[in-house]
Amino acid sequence: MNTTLKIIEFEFKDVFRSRWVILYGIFLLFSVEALYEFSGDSSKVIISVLSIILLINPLLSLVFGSLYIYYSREFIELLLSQPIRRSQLFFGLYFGMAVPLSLVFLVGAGLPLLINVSESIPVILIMLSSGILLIFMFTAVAFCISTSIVDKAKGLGAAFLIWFFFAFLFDGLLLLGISAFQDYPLEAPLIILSFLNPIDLARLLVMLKLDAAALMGYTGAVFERFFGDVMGMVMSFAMLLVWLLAPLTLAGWLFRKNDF
Amino acid sequence: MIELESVSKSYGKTKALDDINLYFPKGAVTAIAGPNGSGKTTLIKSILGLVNIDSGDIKIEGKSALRQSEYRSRIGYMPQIARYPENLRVTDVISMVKKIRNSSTQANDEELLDTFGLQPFTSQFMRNLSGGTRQKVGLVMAFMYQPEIYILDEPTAGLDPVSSGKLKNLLALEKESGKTIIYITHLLGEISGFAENFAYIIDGKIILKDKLDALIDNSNYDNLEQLISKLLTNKNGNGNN
Amino acid sequence: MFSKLFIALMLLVLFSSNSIAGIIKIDKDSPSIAKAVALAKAGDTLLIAKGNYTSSGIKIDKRLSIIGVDYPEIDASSCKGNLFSITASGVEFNGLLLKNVPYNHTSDNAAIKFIKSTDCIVKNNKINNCFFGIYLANTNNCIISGNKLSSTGKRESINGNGIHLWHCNNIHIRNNKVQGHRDGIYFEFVRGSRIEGNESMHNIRYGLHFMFSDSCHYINNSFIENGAGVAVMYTRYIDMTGNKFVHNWGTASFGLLLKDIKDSRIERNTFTKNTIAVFSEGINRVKLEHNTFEKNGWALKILANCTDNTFIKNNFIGNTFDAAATSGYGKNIFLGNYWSRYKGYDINKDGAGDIPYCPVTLFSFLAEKFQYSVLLLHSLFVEALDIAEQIFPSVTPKYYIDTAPSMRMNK
Repeated sequence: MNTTLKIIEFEFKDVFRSRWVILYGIFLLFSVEALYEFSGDSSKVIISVLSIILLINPLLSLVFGSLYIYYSREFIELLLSQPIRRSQLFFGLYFGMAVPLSLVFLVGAGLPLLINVSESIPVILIMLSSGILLIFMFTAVAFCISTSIVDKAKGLGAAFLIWFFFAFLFDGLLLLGISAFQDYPLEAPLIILSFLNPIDLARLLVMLKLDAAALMGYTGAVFERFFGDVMGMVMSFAMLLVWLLAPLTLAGWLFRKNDF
Repeated sequence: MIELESVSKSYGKTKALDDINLYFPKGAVTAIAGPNGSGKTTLIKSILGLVNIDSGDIKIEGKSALRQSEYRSRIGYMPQIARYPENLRVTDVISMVKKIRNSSTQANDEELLDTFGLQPFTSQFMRNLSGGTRQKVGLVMAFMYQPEIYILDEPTAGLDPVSSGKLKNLLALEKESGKTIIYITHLLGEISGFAENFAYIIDGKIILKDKLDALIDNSNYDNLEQLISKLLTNKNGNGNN
Repeated sequence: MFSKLFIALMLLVLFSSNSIAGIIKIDKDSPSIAKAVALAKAGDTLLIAKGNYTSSGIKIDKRLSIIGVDYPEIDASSCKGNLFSITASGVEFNGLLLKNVPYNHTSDNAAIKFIKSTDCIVKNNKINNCFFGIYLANTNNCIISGNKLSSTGKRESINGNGIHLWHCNNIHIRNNKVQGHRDGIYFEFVRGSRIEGNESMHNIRYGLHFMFSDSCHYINNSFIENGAGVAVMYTRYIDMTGNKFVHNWGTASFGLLLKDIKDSRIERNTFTKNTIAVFSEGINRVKLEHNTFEKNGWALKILANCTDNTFIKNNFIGNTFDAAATSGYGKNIFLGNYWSRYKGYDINKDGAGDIPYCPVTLFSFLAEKFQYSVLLLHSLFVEALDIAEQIFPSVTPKYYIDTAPSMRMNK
C-alpha cells in the first residue's frame, strides 16, 4: 500500500500538471457559472449541468484514461522493472488518475453549484457523487481498453464507441424497444434496463430528485417510488457499485496478465 | 547469476522465445545480439517480469523469479526507448524511483548526473528534453544503486560517442567488481573486446552461444559478422532443402 | 379606533334607515348567540363583542345582520351540523372569526351555509379549520368578499371546499383568500356570476373547480400551488381574464384543465411553472389569446377532440415543451404567437417570422405517443433528436403550425 501511495503521489503531480485536466476544470467552472449568469431559470441550469456531467465525465475519463496509459507504456515498464508488484502499480495508476480528475470535477462543477445554491444540498451532493462515480467507472473501463488493445488508434476508437453506446445509442435502442412494446406494462423491464447503463442510472437518480420528475407523469411516479424506496436505493447503489467494481476487476486482471 | 531454463513465450501464433536455455555468470558481460524482432527484448523483459512466460523457469541466484517482485531491487534496467511522464521534472522521476526502491544503499545519482552532464536539466520537464538526454536519465537510474545485475537494452543507441565511452568505462568497473551484466545490441562491432559471452538469437531461437574469445579463435573467420553470416547462410540453405 | 368609528357609523345607518330595527349585544355576560337569534326580530342586528364563544349550531330563518367587533372567535368544535345555517334572505355576516367545524362523513357541514336564500352578504370574515367554509345552495344575488379561509386538513376525503356554490345565480365573489381546503372555490350549476381578485393557494385538490356553470367571469384571480391546479368542465361562455396560474406542480397537476368547454375566452392570463399549463380535452370555439406561458413543463396539451379554437398572440417562454398533441384533427388556429424557442428570421421586417413554427417537437410527440419514452427526458439521445428535427423537420407530423410567429414578445 505504501508503494501504491508513492505512485499516486507522483501521478498526482503529472495529471494535475496536464493541460487537458486543467482545461477541463476551467471549462466546467466557466460553463456552469455562465449558465447561472445567463439563464435566469435555475431549474434549467441544474438540468444543463446534469447533461454536461453525464456527457463529458464519461468521455473525458475514457479518452484521458486510455491515452494516459498508451503514452505511459514505457514509464510503466520502467516502474515495473523496480521492486513493486503489479497490483500496487495498477492501483497507483488508477487512483492517481481518477482522484485528480474527480477533484478537478468537484472544484469545476461543485463550486458554482454550491455558490449559487439553486437546488437543495442533497440534490447537489447526489449530482456530484454520481459525477465522481462516473469518473471512477469509466477510468476503469479506459484501463480495460488500454491494457487489452495494444494499438493506440484502435483503443481510442473503442473508447469512443463505448462512450457513444452508453451516452447515446443505448437510449435510442431503449426508445425503439418502448415503441415496439408500448402496449405492455414496461415499468419493471425499464427499471432493469436502466440498471444496465450507468449513465442512465445516474440521470434517473438525479432527475427523480428534481422538479423535472413531475414531467415524467405516471411512469415517472412509478420510478420515483422505486428509486425513493429503501430497497430501490440499495439496489441502484449496489448496481452502481457493480458498475464500478466489474470494470475495475477486469482491468486489474488484464493488467496483471498483460505483457509490457 | 541468472539462469533461463527452457523458457518459451508466444504472442498468438508467433513464437517470440522458443525453448531458451541461457546462463549469465557473475563478473562478465553477456552480449545478446540478433536482428530486429528476433526476441532480444522479449528475453530481457521475461527476466524482468514485464513479460509473463508461457513455460520454463527463470532463476536468480538459484531461486525462481517467476511472479516475484523483490528480486528486481537487485537489477538496474535501462530500456531501449526512454519515455517518461511529460509533466514530471528530471528530479521528480529520479526521486520517485528512489522512493519506490526505498534502498538502504546510498544512491550516487548526483555523481552520475555530473558525469553525464545532466545537472543543467534536472529541474526541466521531461517533455522538453531531447531523446539522448532522456536516455541518459534512464542510465542514471539504472546505475545509481550499483546493483548486482545490469540489464541494458541497446544502451548506446541514443547516446553521443563521449557518453557511450563513459558508459562502457562504468560497465568495465562494475564487471571488475563481480556484477552480472546483460547487454543487448544489434551492432556486433561494439561487442569485441568488451563482452565475455555472446549469444545470437533469431526468430526466438538461440543459434549461437559461447565464450566470445573461443568463438573467434575456433572459427576461420576474422570477426563476428563473417561468422554469423556464414551460420545464417548455412541455416537458410538447410531450410531450403 | 377605526373599528369603533365603523360601528358607530353602522349604528347610525341602521337606526336612521329602519326605525323598527333593533340591536342585540352579545358579550361575556350574555354569551349565547342562539338565544340572541331566537329573541331577535327580522331586520335586527346582532353585535358580537370581542371574545371567545362556543356554539353547537345556529339556524337563522329571518333577516339578520351578524356583526363581529374585533373578530370575536366562535368555536364550533361541538357542532353536529353547520355552524350557521341560513334559510332566510338578506342575511349578512361581517367581521367574525369562525373555527373548527368538524368533519362529517354524511353531510357537508359548513361554517356558513345558505339554503334557498337570496341577497346575502358574507364580508371580511375569517374562517379557520372548518370542514366546509362558505356554502351556498339554491341561492341567488349574493356578495362574498374579503373573507379569509384556511384549513389544515391533509387529506382530500376529510377536507371540504372553501367557497362552495351549488345551483346559484348572480353571485359576486371578490378579494377572498382561500387556502388549505380541498377545492378553494367550487361551483356546480352556477350561472352569471363574477369571481374577481381572489387568491386561492395551497389547496389540496383544485384552486378553482367548476362544472356546468355557464356565463361566469373570472377576473384577476391568482391560483397558486394547488395540488392539481384549476379544473373547469362541461361549461359554456366562460370569460377568464388576467388570472395567474402559478406553480401548480406535480405528476398530475395542471395550471388549467379544460374539459368540454365551449364558446369561451381565456385571455391575458399568465401561466408560470405549472407541470401542464393548459390541458384541453373536448374544447370548441375557445379563444386563447394574449396569454403568457412561462417555464411550464408543457405549455399546451391538446387532445384529439378539440376543434375550432384559436391560439393567437400568446407568449411561450422557456417551457420544456411548448405543445403536445395526439393528432392534428380539428381546425385549431395558431397565429402570431411569440415562441422563445423559435429560431427563424424576419427579412421583410414585418414582425412576423418568415418560417412557420411547429410547437410540437419530436420528443413531445413521442412522449405523447409512447408513454414510457418520457423516461428519456433530458438524455443526450433525445436532445439530439430535437436538434435533428429542427434540421430535418419532416420527421414530426405537422399537427399545428404557427404560420406567422411573432419575432418579439406580444404585449
